[in-house]
Amino acid sequence: MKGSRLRRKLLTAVIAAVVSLSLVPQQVGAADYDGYCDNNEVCVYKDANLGTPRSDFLYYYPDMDGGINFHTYNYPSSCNTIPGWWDCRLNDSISSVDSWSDHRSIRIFTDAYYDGNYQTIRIYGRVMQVQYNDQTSSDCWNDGGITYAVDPDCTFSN
Amino acid sequence: MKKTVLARAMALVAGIVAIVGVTTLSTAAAAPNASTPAEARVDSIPNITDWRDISLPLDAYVQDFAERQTVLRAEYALTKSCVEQFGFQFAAPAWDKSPAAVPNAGQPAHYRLYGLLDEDHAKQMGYHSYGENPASEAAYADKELPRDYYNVVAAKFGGGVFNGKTIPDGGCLGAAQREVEGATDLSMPVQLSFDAWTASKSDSRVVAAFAKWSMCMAGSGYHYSTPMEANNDPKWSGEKASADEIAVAVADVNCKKTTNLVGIRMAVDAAYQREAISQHGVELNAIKAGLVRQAATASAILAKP
Repeated sequence: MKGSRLRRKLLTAVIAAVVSLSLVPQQVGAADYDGYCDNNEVCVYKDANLGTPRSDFLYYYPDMDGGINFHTYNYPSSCNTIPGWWDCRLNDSISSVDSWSDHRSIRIFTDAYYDGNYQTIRIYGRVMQVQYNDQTSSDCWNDGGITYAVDPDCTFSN
Repeated sequence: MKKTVLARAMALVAGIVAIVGVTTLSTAAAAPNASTPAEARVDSIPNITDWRDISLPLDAYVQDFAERQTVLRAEYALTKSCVEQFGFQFAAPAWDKSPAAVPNAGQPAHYRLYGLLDEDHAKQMGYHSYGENPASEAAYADKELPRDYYNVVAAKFGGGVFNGKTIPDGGCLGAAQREVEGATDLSMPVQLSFDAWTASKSDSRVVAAFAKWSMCMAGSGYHYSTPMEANNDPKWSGEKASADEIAVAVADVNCKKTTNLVGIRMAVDAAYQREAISQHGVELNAIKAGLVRQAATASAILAKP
């Protein structure tokens, strides 16, 4: 049972890694995932005080443990290879966050799909030590003004 | 959350506890001994089947939607004025909404604090949430903002001097925040609520409730130790919810309701929050007063012509 689940998990992750790496050239915005925090991105770091960059992105991570968005492109460099996919998971590995967004605040959650407890990070916000250290599994951008938004925890003062 | 052997071991222990006959929930504080701290006292357990009914004692120490919106608007007004002195234009974020137009009428929302409880959501999307990633966001990637702008607004490059003027500490936004919010650190209620929520997860009464929920799920053919484990199942990592995910999410919501898992978790969480409030009453009252001051300061700034 356990081995079967592990194999399924590994297979899912490998497929996700292959799919995600194949999507690299199609990411929106040239600066997305390039290791530099700029232009409306939110950047997440492995260590406190913006130490050890993990990823810079424009959109959201509904699940930092799998799926096509789960990886980081800049640290460690092995993340850019299929054998290194395991090092790329952001799940439960974030200690600080720097937002360069000029129009959306974000929330980081303890569980996947905006489940569990959350911390709010305002536009241009810089959080040197997140309150849920190494416990962040998803994040959503403030969806205020978007009528098809569905998660009430993702609609908040902006 | 980490899907660890520890979590599974805890669930196994919880299951054994449930099987040997702990079928009623003790509402009194657990007896302390040398190795375990006392569990918070729970006086009553509400039946919770709607996320809108989730409310917690520490909610009184955070701003609601309208109050926070007023504070932010005042800060953006000050920021705009400051940024213009450096020769830039500052576009404050839009999305002013009436509290009536936001979920839960602008009161603190705890939509998935204890896991998904919305059956319609589960039926439509499983655990996923589809309201993100609009195409309009792509435009922001191309809207190049200069480094100096980010430095003036938020001191992203350490501040310094620009156009002969000294950038305020934290940039114009930092200065605006200090003017409206003052020096009071308002993060304590957030941290205390997280601490209580975390404590409630391993509280024996919640662990027993997890076991009941797990048995309920097993009745539908799904084997998870906790709702978090079902929510975080790596099988759900696709872009859209699968039929399997939807079936599990619907069963999860129904089992939460039949076992009153959310009512029990909320009661235990609230008990730990009340303990925190009694331990930090002085600081929390100062924060509450600070929130009132912030709102008054913000309103006065916005009222200026």
